[in-house]
Amino acid sequence: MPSPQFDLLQGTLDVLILKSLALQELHGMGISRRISQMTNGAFEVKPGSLFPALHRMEDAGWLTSTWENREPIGVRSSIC
Amino acid sequence: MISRFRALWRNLIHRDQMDQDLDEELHAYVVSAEKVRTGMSPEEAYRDTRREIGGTEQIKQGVRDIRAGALLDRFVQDIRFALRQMRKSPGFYAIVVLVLALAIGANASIFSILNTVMLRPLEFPNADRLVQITSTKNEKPIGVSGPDWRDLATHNQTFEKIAIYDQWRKNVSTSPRGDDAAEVLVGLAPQEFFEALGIQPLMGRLFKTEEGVEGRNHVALITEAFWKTHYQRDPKILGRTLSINDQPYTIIGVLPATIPGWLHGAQAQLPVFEPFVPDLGTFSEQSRGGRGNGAIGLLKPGTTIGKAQADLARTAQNLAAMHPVDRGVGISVAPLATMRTGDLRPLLLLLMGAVGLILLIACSNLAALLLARNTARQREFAMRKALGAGTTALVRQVLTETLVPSLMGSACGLALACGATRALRTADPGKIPQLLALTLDWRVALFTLVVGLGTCLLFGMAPALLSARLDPADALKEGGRTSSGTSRQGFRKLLVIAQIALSMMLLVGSGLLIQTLERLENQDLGFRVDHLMRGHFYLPPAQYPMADMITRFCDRLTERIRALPGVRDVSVTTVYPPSDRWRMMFSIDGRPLSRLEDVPATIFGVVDANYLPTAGIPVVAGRNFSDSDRETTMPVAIVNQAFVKQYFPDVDPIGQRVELGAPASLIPQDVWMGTERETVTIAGVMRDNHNQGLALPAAPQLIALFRQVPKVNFGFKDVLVRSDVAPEALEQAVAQQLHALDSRLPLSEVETMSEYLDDMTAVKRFTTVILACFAGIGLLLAVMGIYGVIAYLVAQRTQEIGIRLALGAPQSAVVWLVSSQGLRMALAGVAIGLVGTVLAARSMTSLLYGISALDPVTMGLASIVLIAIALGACVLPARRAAKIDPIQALRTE
Repeated sequence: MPSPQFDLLQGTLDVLILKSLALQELHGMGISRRISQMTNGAFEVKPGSLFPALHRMEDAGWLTSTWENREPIGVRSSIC
Repeated sequence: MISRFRALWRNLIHRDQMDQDLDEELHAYVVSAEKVRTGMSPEEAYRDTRREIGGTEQIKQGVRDIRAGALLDRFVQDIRFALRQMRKSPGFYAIVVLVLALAIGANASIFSILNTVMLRPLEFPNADRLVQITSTKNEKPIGVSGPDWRDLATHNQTFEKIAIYDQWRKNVSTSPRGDDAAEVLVGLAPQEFFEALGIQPLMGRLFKTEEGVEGRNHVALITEAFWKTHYQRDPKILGRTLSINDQPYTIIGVLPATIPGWLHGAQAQLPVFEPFVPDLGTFSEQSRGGRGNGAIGLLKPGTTIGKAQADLARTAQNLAAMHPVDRGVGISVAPLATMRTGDLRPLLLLLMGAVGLILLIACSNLAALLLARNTARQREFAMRKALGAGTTALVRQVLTETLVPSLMGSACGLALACGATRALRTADPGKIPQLLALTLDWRVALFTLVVGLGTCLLFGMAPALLSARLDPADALKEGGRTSSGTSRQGFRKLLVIAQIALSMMLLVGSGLLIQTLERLENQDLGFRVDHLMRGHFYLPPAQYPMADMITRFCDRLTERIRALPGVRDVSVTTVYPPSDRWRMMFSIDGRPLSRLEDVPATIFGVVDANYLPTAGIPVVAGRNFSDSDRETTMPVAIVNQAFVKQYFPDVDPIGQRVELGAPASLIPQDVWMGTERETVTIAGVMRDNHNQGLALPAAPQLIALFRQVPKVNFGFKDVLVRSDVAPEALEQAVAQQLHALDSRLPLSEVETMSEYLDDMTAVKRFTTVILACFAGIGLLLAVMGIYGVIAYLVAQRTQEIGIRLALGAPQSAVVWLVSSQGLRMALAGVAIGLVGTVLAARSMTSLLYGISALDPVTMGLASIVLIAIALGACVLPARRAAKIDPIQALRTE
């Protein structure tokens, strides 16, 4: 079930995600940590909000994704 | 945009791959989240992570919901589920699809009739600019006269082409000897007629302007069908001759099959056309009052009908100022398509309304059925709600479940409609000429689709909305009975009441129509209909130029026919009930008139002395014509009672003198009489008979002997034969006698008077039968509805009934308990139906005859029938209830 936090943040979340990816590729965990950093801990983006937003923006063409193996486990990266 | 499409494609086609990717992605996230937690044991890290992230399934569903193509995905899922449901209970859904197919099929059939007769554009180029022009006298439409048309054609500014035309029955023969003549309706049309309709000949050419003149007009156009049947598609057809009324005409062209018969008021296409110059000097001033022709026009591009009407009205006013015979005559311009509809419009709208009611009844029936089924699925819905399905999801799912049978019902219904239209086209039970072109086109298919979706909404909404309003906790409780059960039942009852009300309206409507038909068919028309045969023939002026030759021929014919065995009486006439179309202006001796508008007109006809006895019309005053009334004796006339009532209310009409034709002092030339008027003396009064069709009362009528009024002794004659034997047996013999006197004369329109009268009510009969069928279907559906509800009620209240019986209630009390439910619904439905009938009464009045739309007897009978049927539907469940074994009942939980 979509969490209420997601609905509230939808427009803002998109901007925050794009801002966080402006300088470098990041994976999911990294994006939420970056956003938390940028906003001084005001926004803790939960995966329940993050993942749908990422996929929505990818479908709309605002970002692309690739698979990479940086660590022994596969990780997803995102770039603008 | 493009990336959206690419995403859509990816999400749909590579769904499994996408799901797997999502899984891995989440897994990676979780792992990295765990890794972040330093200083905890692996289990703690795991738990902490889980707590922070929440449910992975929810996240995955969140992503799926947001993806491109999610809507379609959900839709496909719902459809699959619906199909699975249908497979689980095939019987139930079979009934649903069947009922829908019947209702939608009936709707599509009637709509295709409506489409063919009213909505489809005409098959001419520039069909939207084609109009019909009629003159109106005292607001009643009549035909256009020749001189009027000529003036309209010259002085108008809004028409590109304007054409007058007519059609006459003529003897047409294709063989050189002329002895295979048949009486055929021949079109009389100038070249403008074909040009306005945009008709190009398949071979040869159209008429030329100079051929529109007497003497130069012996050219003819034939249609393709005529070419095939009579000339075997001879490629050298141009230049061959055919004989029309014993005159040779040269064939100059072959027309395609596009000119419909309804332009000429005929069943089928007219096979032959000749230039517009009928024999009577149509364009001379004396014919200005002879309004029998049709007229069509092609508007200039961009002109509206209103402008054209105003333009012609102006010209008509000028004409009225110049010519006294045109005073009070107006002009009416209407789209040509209205001519195609004719007077079928109210009947078609009635049928459309009725079939719409059937659809509503079917939908409410199905809604009730579905509601009952959904009640059993309450637990399932409650579970879904508890698992997180939103109201929209539930409603969407139920709607999709109803969409599948709706669409299937639509498809089957369309197939049914196909079959029905084909059957209608070949059987043509109503003798409706426009139906010859009945087909299903894209409009009907679209209509069917819309109706199908509409029914889905109609009968899916109720169950959907009600199932969504569940409280999951209640429904999941053991025991299964919820408080919302009663409100659901209430809604079901409401649906059944609606069905009964709609059925009531259908029942009353068809009852009224049936009685109208019965009154039309069985009324006393004022003459004897049995054992009477009629026929028509035409003595062409080329062979019979003098009136006395016509008289002699008719005399010899009647002699011969009278000599036939089985013939009781025979008469040659130009008029017989119930339709007499000849009107003659007249003035009464001693009552001078000062204005042409005041000159009265009467229904007129010329007959022989045997007309009244042959037709079975009694003489109520004075005497009948007799053989002593000859060409040399004083011309006499017989009038009907309506004539006497209107013109001689306090005076004995016998002996009064009537001058035929408009008075010479007001107009020098009368359209029928010419310059010299004839005067007749009233010798007798006949009893009234219907002379304005079946539905209107008798109008004043005057008849004279054709031998005594030679000016109007034309070659058009009808023959009536009263026989002792079955009239069909004599048809051949009579035709032979005519042929024996003149082998070139065909006897046409031969039929018994009963057949002739039946044709007049054919359309009404057709409509009544259909409406009665609809009423029957409506009743059946209502019965099913009531039965369903009552049976369900009994099942629900089995325990309660068991207890009552155990406590000593007599069986009759239980039966009453059950039946009273049905009775209450029936009473409510009947009451609402009566209100609906009253509201719809006004629109039905134009279709009824001899009975009021608010006839209390009909309404009362319909109510009783419905209530009785409703009670009947309760019988089975009530008996089952009464036979409940209390112990069994109490045991079931």
